[in-house]
Order: sequence, then structure tokens, then C-alpha cells
Amino acid sequence: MAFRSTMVFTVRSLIRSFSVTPLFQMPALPILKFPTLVLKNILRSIDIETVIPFSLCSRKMYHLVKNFRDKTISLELSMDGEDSSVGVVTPDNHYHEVEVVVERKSRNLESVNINGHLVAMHRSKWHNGWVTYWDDEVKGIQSVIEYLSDLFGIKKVASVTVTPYSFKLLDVIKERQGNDYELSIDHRLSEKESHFILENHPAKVLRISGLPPYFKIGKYLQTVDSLFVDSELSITIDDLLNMNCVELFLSENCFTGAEIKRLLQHWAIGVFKQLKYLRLDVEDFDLEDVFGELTHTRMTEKRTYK
Amino acid sequence: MTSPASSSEVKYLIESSEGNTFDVSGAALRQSNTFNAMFLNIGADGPIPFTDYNEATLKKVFEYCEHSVNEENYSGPKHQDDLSKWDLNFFNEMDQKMFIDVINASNFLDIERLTSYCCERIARMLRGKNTQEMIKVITLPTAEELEAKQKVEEKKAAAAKKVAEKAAETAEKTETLEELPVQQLVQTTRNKLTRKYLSFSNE
Repeated sequence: MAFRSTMVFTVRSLIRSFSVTPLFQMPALPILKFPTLVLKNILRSIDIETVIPFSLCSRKMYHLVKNFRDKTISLELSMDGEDSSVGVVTPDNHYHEVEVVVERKSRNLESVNINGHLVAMHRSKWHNGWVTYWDDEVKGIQSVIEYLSDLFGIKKVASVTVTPYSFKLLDVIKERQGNDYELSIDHRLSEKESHFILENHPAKVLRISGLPPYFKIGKYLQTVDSLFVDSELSITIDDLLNMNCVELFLSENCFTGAEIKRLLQHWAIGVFKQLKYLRLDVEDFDLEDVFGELTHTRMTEKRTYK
Repeated sequence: MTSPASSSEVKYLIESSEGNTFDVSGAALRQSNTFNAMFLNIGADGPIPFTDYNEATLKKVFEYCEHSVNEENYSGPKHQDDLSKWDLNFFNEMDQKMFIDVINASNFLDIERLTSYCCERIARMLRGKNTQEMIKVITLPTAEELEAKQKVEEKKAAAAKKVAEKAAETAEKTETLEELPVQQLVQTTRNKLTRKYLSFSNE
């Protein structure tokens, strides 16, 4: 009997010793006990993708990240409506995203508190970043934007990409920062969608893959600061003379040398109050004839336009 | 034994928390900004006391300094993938306790390169982990533990409040008794007794 109990004790202690110290146990590092300078150094060494879940560990970690992160690195916020994600873009153009997935059934995942909402989160298998699960997509996007914006001290979402199916997400941005962002739409829009976007969401910078063939864009050139369109537009020289854009880039429209000359003469006398950048295709273009009477300088070196 | 001039050739004696001494080259020691600020110009008569850290930790720190004497042009922490075989062995030989001690000693001695390498290594350990795993690594209390701690603190606060109230009450009574003149005190006591008697008789 005594022998049996000893055996049981030995086996139990063996099991315990294996369960307490597994072979690949993660060493514990109580980093909050380190001096502030070390803590600051650690936080500056952690990359963006790791810093997001790190800040979600506790309120204290959130404030540490917020206060100690390397503020010399300028980050941008970007929203992608195609996969419902908000991303932090680093200067080397790496996009670290937090994706918002609408799923009502509960998942056996860890829960984190994002802007007061307890949501499931896991590492994305396909992208650099994280996937979060929400009841409502708009609420999710809104919360993630506010969380990342506060954490990294980025006031506004710099760029937004949407599809015609995710236009509703633009309301979040409109409510937050008006039209102060760059909107990209990689789909050729229908007439209805084109009117909707240009009327309701005339972002400061608008990049559209294509507008319908006979779409009258003239009236919208008064409200949009920068417009980049990759398809031919139904636009006249008079529309251009009445415009109030800062930038206009029409890649598929052709103008004659005479039209360009007229346009440039108006520009030279200050008719276009805001225009800084104009790019049009031309045909029958005689450089000497167009620029002959205008004071101009031919640029031989590449200049970066800001 | 020690000389401020030509410090790269001389050896300095270092004293650990155990009272043991060992020598370190001036060139290695000069990587410590703390040493530079305290002893480089004035020299040291006896062993330099770094008695907050044990011998093993200090030896490990100065082992790193001795190794990196020739790497003069330091330009920020290296990425873990860029660490040499020696660097990797140096870190892998340490257990967790020594690693923590080395970070603290390196921070105290202000050896920028070693501190940065250690911090980069911690950052690397956190990479690829989710929130729960990170909480385990950095030994943060979980939500349940925080809640339990908060409850205990609330209970303690409530008990302390009760004790304080009782103490205040007792003090007030004592003060009242002390402040009242003797005649008034007699009258008050009499009134109380009468009131008791009256209430008794009413019943």
C-alpha cells in the first residue's frame, strides 16, 4: 500500500513537473518593472504590427505606446473599403491593417477592447495585420479609425479607397473630417454612382478609374480641388475655362493646339485662381505656336510637384 | 592601478555586490557613459563600486563591451537578423533572470549599444504574438485578476473608511466631553437619564 502511494506520488510529481515547465515555455519578462528609459527603448523597437495588439493588452500599455512610441516616424491612416480595413501606412509604404469583418456568431478567439467595444481578434493569414469581428461594419470601421488615430496621434485619414458597394463607409469619414482626404475608386462608375460621389463626397483629391461616356462633369469642377480621371470625359474648353480646380488630370481627352493656347493664355492672366497642375493630351500641337507669345521656361530637370 | 590617461591600455578594478573584484579594460569601460561621466577624467583610487549588480551580471555586461571595443561606428540597434553569431550566442547563453539583470545593469551603466540590442531582442520576442500571449510574456495581470484586485482594494477602502469614521466619532465624543464645563456635563447626563426614565415609564 505504502509502495503504491509512493508510486502515485512520483508519477503525479512527474506529470506536474512536465505540465509546469513545458519544453518551449515562453520566458516571462515583466517589462513594466524596467526603468522608464528601457521601456521607452523597447516600445521604440516594436514594429507597428506588434504594437497594435501590444497596446490592447491593458489601458496602461495603451498609454505607454501612445506616449513612448517613436514620434519622429510619420505615419498615415488609410481606409480600404474593398476589404473593410483601416491601415497604418509607414514611410516605406508598408500597410499594417486592422480588418473589420461582420460576423454575429461568437468565435472562440481572444477578445480585445477597441474603443469601448469588446470584439474578437486574430492575426490575418493573408495580410500584414489583424482581423476583428463586429456586429456592424460602419461601427467597426469608425471604432478602429478612432482607436488607431488616438494611439498613433494621426488626426485624419489621409486616403480612402472604396467600391460602389462600400460607399456607406464614406459617411464615417465625412462625419469625421469633411472632405479633407484623398478618395480613390478603382471601378468605372455608373452615371448614378458618379453623380452620387461627386455630389455627396467631393473629396479634396478624387481619383476615379472611369466615368460614363457622356457624363457632364463641368458643374462638379467648381467643388472638387483635384480630379484625376482615367477615361475620356465629356468636357469642353469652356468647362475648363470655368473650372476652379487646383489639379486636373484627364488622361484620355484630346485638345487641339489652339484650345491649349487659349487655355494657357487665360491661365497666364490669372483666370484660374487656384490651378497649379493641368495635364491634358493634345493633337495637332505646334509647340512654337502655342508657347510663342507666352513667357515660359522649358524644364530640363525632373521636378517633384507637391 | 588606474590612470585617466591612455585609458585603453589600463585595467580598472570593478567591485560587484558580493564584494568580489575583477578587472576590465579601459576601452571596454569607456563604452559606459556612466563611467565616462564619473571616473574617466578623475580616475579611481580603488575598485569602482558597481555594488547594485552581482559579479556574473557585470562580467556578462563587460564581456559584451570587451567584444565590441573595435566596433566604433555604432549606428543604432541592429535588426535581430543582422546579429553576428557571437551576438546570438551571447544572448542565448543567458537565462531570463540574467537577461533582466543585464538590461538593468546596461541601463545603469548607460551602454547604449547593449541596451538597444536587449530591447530589440524583447521586441523580437513579442513579434507574432496575440494579446493574450503578450500578456503572459510581459506578465501583466489578466482582466479577472485586475477585477479581483479591485474588489480587494474596494473592501480594504471600505474597512478603512469605517475605522476612520469610528475614530472620528470617538474623538468627537471625547472632545465634547472635554469642552463642556462640569455643571453643564452633569445637567446633560441628568437630562439623558430623565429621558430614559420617561421613555421607560411611557412603555
